[in-house]
Amino acid sequence: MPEVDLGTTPLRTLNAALHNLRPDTNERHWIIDHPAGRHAIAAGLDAPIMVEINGSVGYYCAGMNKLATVLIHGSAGTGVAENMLSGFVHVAGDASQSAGATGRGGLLRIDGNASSRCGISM
Amino acid sequence: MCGIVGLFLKDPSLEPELGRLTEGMLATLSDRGPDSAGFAVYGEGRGDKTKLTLRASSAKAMKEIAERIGHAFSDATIELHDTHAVIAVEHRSLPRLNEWLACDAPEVDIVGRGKRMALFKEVGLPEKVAERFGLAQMQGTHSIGHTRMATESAVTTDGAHPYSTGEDQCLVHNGSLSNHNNIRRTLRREGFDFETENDTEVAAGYLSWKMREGLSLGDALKVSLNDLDGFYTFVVGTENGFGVLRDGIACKPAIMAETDRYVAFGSEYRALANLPGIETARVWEPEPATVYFWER
Repeated sequence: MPEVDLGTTPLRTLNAALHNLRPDTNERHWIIDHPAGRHAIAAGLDAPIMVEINGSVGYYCAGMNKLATVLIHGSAGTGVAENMLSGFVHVAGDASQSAGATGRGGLLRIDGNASSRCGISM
Repeated sequence: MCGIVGLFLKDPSLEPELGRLTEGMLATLSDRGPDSAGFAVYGEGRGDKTKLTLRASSAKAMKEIAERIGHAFSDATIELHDTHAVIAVEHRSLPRLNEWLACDAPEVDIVGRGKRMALFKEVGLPEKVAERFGLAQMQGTHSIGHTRMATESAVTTDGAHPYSTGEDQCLVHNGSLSNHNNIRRTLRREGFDFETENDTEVAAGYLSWKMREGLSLGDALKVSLNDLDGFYTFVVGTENGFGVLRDGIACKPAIMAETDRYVAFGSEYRALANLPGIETARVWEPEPATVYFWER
């Protein structure tokens, strides 16, 4: 189970690793620590994996998601799961503006509050 | 784009950390505003003295002017910070100092005045600006700061926030006002001077005007909802107060955090992510057209 600390690993390194996963990868469960509100964490996924993020994330987390399950143990900034195609994104805290905007499929669950323009242009 | 931050301490044991925490918040928002930066720090008052923050064209020019002030005013205490100097004089010397500055150093700008507020702004990357002024070493009860990405006017120090239009009052702004020319005319009739054509200075002047008429900062922010048109997120400081207001459709980003020890504001959560105890803080997005206001 890969565990990535964004306090020490550059975000681009993490996202590149996630983008390079093949559909039959054995690395199916990723843990991400210290997100510290960084933008575009786990955006553009296209593999049936689970990504768990321990903390709050910035803009466009899990944007354009396909197949993956992304669990955010914290709150999310603008545009979480924007333009999702399939998969499941779960925000345990609150979501900012434009959550799930332009969604084409998949499921977005927000346990806390969602801000304005939630689900706009789906 | 621009980034704004604010930190209002409730726990006095954090006061020695105010500058360091503010610097961290500003540096994080460098990529929202890499052109210039500014901040105001509410430090300790000096009895019956008033602090003027002065800005000259260079550190050398500031040092030379500060020395001349030292000779001319025996009661002056002087702190040099790069191109700025914080000069504290007794209230009774203030008219004479203003006159001296107008006659003997007309090239110097007075960027802030008050019992407790010192205000610094300069062109450059925010973390470099903070370093030049020694923000990390500053202490106090609250601070507000701004990182600017110039979109509508030139990258100059005059275009940098915060703007101060009254004693111990200052404001940072993310957004754009559409009726600032009208309001500037009203305020000029009311006796306010403006140094720039900037919309933010008008917002600061408007709040100073309402507070001069006796309103609290919170009430001044409330009535501004009727009079200021445009999109904006404001963070405002007074001698003892700290306020936040967003426009009616909350165009510009804002996030706040509160613990027993502080209230913090940031354009993005990233700016708050390193504050002590943030993991258990109450974190929320301020509502549109809702005044948030703390006083100590």
